[in-house]
Amino acid sequence: MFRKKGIIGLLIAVALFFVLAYFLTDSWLEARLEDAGTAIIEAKVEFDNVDFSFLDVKITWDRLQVTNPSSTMRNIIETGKCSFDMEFWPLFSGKVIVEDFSVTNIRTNTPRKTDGSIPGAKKSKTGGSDFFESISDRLEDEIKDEPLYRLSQLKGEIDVDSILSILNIQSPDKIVKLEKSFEERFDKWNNRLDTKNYEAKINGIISQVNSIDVNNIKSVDKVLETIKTVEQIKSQSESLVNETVTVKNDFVNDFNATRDSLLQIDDWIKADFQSALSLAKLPEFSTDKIGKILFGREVVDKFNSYMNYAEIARRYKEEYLPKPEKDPSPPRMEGQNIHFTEKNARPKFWIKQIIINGFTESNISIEGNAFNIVSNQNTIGKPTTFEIGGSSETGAKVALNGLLNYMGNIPNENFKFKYDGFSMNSTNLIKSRFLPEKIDKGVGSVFTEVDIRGKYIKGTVEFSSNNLIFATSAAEPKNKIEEIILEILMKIDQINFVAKLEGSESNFKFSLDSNLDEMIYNNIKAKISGELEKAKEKLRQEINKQVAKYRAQAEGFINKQKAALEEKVAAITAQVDNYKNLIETKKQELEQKKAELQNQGINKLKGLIKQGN
Amino acid sequence: MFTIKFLAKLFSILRSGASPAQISWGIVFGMIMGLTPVLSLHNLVLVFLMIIFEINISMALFSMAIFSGIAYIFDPYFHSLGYYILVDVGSMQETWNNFYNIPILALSRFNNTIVMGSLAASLALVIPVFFLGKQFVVVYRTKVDPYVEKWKVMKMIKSSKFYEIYTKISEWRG
Repeated sequence: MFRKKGIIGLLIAVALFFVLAYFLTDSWLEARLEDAGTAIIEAKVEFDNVDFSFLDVKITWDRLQVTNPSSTMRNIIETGKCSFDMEFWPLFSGKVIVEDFSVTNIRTNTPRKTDGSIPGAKKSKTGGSDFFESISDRLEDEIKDEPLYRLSQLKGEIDVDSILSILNIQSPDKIVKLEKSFEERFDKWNNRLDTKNYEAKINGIISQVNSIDVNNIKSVDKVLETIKTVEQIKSQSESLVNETVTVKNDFVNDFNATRDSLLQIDDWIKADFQSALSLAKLPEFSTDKIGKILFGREVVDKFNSYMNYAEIARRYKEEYLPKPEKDPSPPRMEGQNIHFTEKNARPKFWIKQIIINGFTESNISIEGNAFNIVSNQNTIGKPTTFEIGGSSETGAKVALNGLLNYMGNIPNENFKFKYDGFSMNSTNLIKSRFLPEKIDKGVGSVFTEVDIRGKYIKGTVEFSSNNLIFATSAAEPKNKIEEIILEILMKIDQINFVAKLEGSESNFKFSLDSNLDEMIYNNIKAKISGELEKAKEKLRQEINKQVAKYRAQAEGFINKQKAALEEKVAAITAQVDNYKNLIETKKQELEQKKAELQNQGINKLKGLIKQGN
Repeated sequence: MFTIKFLAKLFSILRSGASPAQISWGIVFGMIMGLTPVLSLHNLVLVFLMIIFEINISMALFSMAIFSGIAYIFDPYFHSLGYYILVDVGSMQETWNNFYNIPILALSRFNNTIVMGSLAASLALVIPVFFLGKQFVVVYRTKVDPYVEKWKVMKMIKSSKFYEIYTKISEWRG
């Protein structure tokens, strides 16, 4: 009945399996964790000395490094020793349930010894979602510093004549073409009116009516016959009259567009002016651009980071599945997996609590918790939240709160970050090529809030700093703009800005206002814009001058031709009116004649009756 | 050559010292493993059972090879049957939900339409196949084998190297 050799062999195989598992699990698990983390972050995630304890189902590691995907020589976070206990039995269902996860000595933005990039990883700022990519691209457009850069490159007087000599002004050609198209249209109308010969036709009818001499008609029968003839003339000429009305209406409709066509000329001149500006590399510049150019990079990087976190969270969330539709032809021998989920079932992955402590980049001691990192929030009925805070001996305070809520139909992420009273001594303030690289001294505060609901984002970044002293020695101004900005910075000791972002892909608003906007704009205007505006005005005048003669010629021709045609149409209309009046008059005369002859007859009849009596 | 090997193997098993029940269980186990996807938890259990109990492993492997081919043909029907059992049988939904959340059972991949459909079909065939198989072995040994013994092809098989090796292995396995 039993195979003794088989049972012994089986026991040996099982024992061997456990022995191998005991020795190989740690390295296998480390590789799996690194692969999974790397796939999520799209940059290297590295664990040091992962240890899995079979007896108490506990995992520990000595260090974790998560590479910053947008700067692969730095880590977004690095931890010290971490440990967590897993529930044993759920592992057999492929579920990882972690009660408490302890993370010690967490640090942010730490340097890496090796490059953490992975080959073939796409350089996405926000993780690849269409919505986040689109918002990010639009933000990038908003902060382009080309106008200020071009302005900074202006040297000496602008040579307008040489620009004009190479500028190919398009407006005259377009005006000539417009004139030609009108000429063709006028010809068409002239032909139509001439070939139809409305005047002659109407004149013929008029003379036909005029030839009826009412006074020569002596009998009622003749009057009735003539009325009939007039009615016939009227009905025969009805189609001609209708045709002239149609012609008039067509003409009015066709030439109503004339005004719009002539307005195009202004747009063509504007386009020529813009070409001249770009040829001369003269920027169009306004005050609302300043803040975006100076501080936009910093702000957009912040928004991109939060959008990236939201995108990753959304990518890995699970949703309840409705009753599965039958796959008509799944891959051969593979079938279709039917998933059963119900309220209160255990999720596939759930870290109930992460206890965090560590230091920020600027050495502020932080601690906090993250709750319910879970693959399916609906199964536990709670969203993911985290709150981390800390303060330094110098009085700086930092707080980060977050909410990832995927329980409803619309995903919602909310991040709030507040960093108060941080030292800006010897720091880089802003990633702008127009600001000094270093600040000697200063204190800053920043508040960021980003709320994303489905495909609608709302965000604010408020930054304020005071007691600023800039490191002027390190920054020799390279151009007029830098000179102006440095000059202003020397006079002020604070920089504040507020950036606001709100909207969806189709309707999107981004503003960034700083206390430097007006000051810098006015100074640029005073020192550079005078020259700039003078050059622009000269270009504008020259273009207008070159275009003016063509414009006048075209407008003159069009107006003259149009007036002539209008006159023709008006003449036809007047003739038609004349004909209509004539017909009516003739009809009235005939009716009168008929009444007159009838009275004469009655009177004659009465005379005869009297004579007979 | 393949046909000869195939027949040699079949005749060797049928003529081996294993009892009709052992051979028939081999057919049944091979049928389940052949019809259902190989990498399933229940197949691991079947392998353990075959190692522990005296079930004819050769016949199980032979049967598995045959039924794997049949499984390929019936794959769309197994998918439909599995989908029906997992989704359309309303009274079973609570059971599947519970199974889905029970450790170990989730590893059985019971929620896959092919696993469920083919397992249900093969379980339904266990009893008839077992008795038919057993009867087939008995009939073969008492009535067919004396005739087969005289076939030229049988003599060829018996003189082949494959038969020789197989006999040695059978003796070695006891």
